[in-house]
Amino acid sequence: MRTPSPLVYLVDDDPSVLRAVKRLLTAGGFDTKAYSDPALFLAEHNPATPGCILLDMALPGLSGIDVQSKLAATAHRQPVIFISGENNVPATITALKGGAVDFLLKPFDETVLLAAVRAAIARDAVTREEEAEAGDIAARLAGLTPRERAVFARVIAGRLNKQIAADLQIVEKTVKVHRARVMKKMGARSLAELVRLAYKYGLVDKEVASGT
Amino acid sequence: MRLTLEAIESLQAVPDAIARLLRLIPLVAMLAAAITPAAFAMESLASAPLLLAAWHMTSGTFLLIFIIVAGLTYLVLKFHREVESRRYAERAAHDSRDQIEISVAAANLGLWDWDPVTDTVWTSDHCRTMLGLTGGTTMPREKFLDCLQGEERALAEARMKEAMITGRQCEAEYSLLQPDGSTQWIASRATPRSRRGGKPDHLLGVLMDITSRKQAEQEAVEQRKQLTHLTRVSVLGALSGALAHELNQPLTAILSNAQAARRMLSHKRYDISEIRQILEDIMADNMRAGDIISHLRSLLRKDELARRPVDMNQLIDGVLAFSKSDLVLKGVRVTKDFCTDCAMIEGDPVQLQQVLLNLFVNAGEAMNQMPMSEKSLHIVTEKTRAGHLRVSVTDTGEGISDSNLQFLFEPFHTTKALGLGLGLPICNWIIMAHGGQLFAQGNPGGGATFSFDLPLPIEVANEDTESSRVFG
Ligand SMILES: Nc1ncnc2c1ncn2[C@@H]1O[C@H](COP(=O)(O)OP(=O)(O)O)[C@@H](O)[C@H]1O
Ligand SMILES: [Mg+2]
Repeated sequence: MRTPSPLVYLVDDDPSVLRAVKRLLTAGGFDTKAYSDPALFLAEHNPATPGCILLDMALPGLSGIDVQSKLAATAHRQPVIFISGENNVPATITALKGGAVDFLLKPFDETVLLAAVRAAIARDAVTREEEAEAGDIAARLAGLTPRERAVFARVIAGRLNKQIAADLQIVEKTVKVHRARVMKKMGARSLAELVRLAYKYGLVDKEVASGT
Repeated sequence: MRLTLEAIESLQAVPDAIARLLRLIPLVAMLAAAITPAAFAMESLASAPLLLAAWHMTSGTFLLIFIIVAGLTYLVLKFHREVESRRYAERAAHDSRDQIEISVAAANLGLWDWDPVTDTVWTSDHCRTMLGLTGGTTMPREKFLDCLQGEERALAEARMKEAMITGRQCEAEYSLLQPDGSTQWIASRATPRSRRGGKPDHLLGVLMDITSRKQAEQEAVEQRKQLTHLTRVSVLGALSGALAHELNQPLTAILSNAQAARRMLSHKRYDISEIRQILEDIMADNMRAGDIISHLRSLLRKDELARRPVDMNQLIDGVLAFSKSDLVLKGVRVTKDFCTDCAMIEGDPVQLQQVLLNLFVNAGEAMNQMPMSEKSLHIVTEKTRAGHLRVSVTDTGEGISDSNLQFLFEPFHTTKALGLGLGLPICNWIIMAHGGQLFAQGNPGGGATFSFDLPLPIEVANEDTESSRVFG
């Protein structure tokens, strides 16, 4: 599956700022979709598209913060960069608490803008990759039989084959067979990699708890 | 002058006394015939020896002599008493004039008295000191008026003449240029008087130095100007964030446009019409920034009240646009209900803008604690029954308590931690200077309405048609 190229959503009620910043982003090499109406943006915004969102703080009707909280209620993924004409500390704090990755003060230089957008897009890509891997791991985990899952839980908990055999009242040889199948199904080449995956996706506590 | 007056008056007393003497003769004769010496004794002790003689005599000749002598004695005494009482009255009058002069001088008043017949002016000592006049008490009017210059001198002459003709009191204020270059202010009140009843024959004047009052007045005007200036600055302070935003928009657009164009040119493949469009946009945004700055400057200027035709609806829209980002940042919903054919008035657009700005800022501040969904500002222009233009600004803020309502227009009354309490007094002053009135009220459903009435041009005020309205 080919990943779509990143898209920058730009929301600002001032038409001339909107036009100028869109031009700059386009000239900087980013596909940009510009909205002067925050409601229209919310209606058209596609959370599945990789990229980032540039959001003006002072918008008529809905404030930038309102748009951010409305986005949070959806399955949105794109990092939000706020742009604002004034250095409003309380609003900045609210924005950052709401998960904003950056806060640019108008007027901003192209290097600042493009670097922030680039960083946000990279961050979005990493998040998406991790989410994809997490989804993948979850699918692999679902492919394990109950017995394999019990062995997996004990392996990542650091128990030896002998102990696992005793736990499950099976012979040690059978444990080894299950263990090899777990490694294969989970796509881990070594015990170390299996443990890393388990830690990374928070499987340790869950599996250990359910497996015992 | 006093001496001559006295002399004339005592001379006048002589024929008076003779007339009375002639009238007295028959009376004395009657008294003598009744032979009541006691009455004579009462009249004058000096007659006593004559009365004793009369007691012993019966001859008619003696009686005649007695009557003549008694009558003459009486008359001499009477005349003497008459002169005495005249003298006494003169002295009393003189004393009281002195007393008046002393008290008027103490009250910092100067006295003058113009006699149109001789065209001379008598002046009190303090009067001469006040006017910087030298010489004696009485002087020709020409010299008296020398303390005034040009137009004021001509005016004073005309007023003096008029007062004598009409017999009415006249009041005026004059400015005197002092040798040290400062200005002294004098208030004058002149009353036409008559010495013998009938037509006025002299003009009595009182002068008062009102320099300090004038200075206080000028200071008050100056202070008010400065206060107006101060609130403008404080209102702008409240708006500075919004103002920065307002200026930042065009600046952001200009910078981004210019940098986009530079990038496009370096890519070699670019659309020349797009570059042209960018340059057009840059110019437009530059103009926009300039407009904001000139608006700011006009608000900061300390100018006087100017009168120009003003479209109130346009003015409101202008101020709304100017404070848009402040309202937007606060999440205030703005609605309008404008009267289309009654919004033209005469006034000072800058000052009226200031009133609107103050009312909008106050409304916004009153709604600070409200949730965003409940913040709204409703602006109405309409024609009142009395033929005024009424502008009402209604908010959904905290409203006004009764105890607060009575102090709203008092300078420095504020319920805000950082308030100056000058916004409303100055609004009130500006509206009054426009011949209008400012009103405040708390609304039953919460929030407040501030409104002001301004006089409409007579033709519009008299039209009784229902004015057409637009809703926005
Ligand atoms: N729209 C309003 N709603 C409620 N109270 C108001 C409103 N406007 C003014 N006030 C009251 O009037 C006071 C005086 O206002 P003002 O003269 O503008 O001074 P300041 O804004 O500096 O307090 C305010 O402190 C506030 O208590
Ligand atoms: Mg105020």
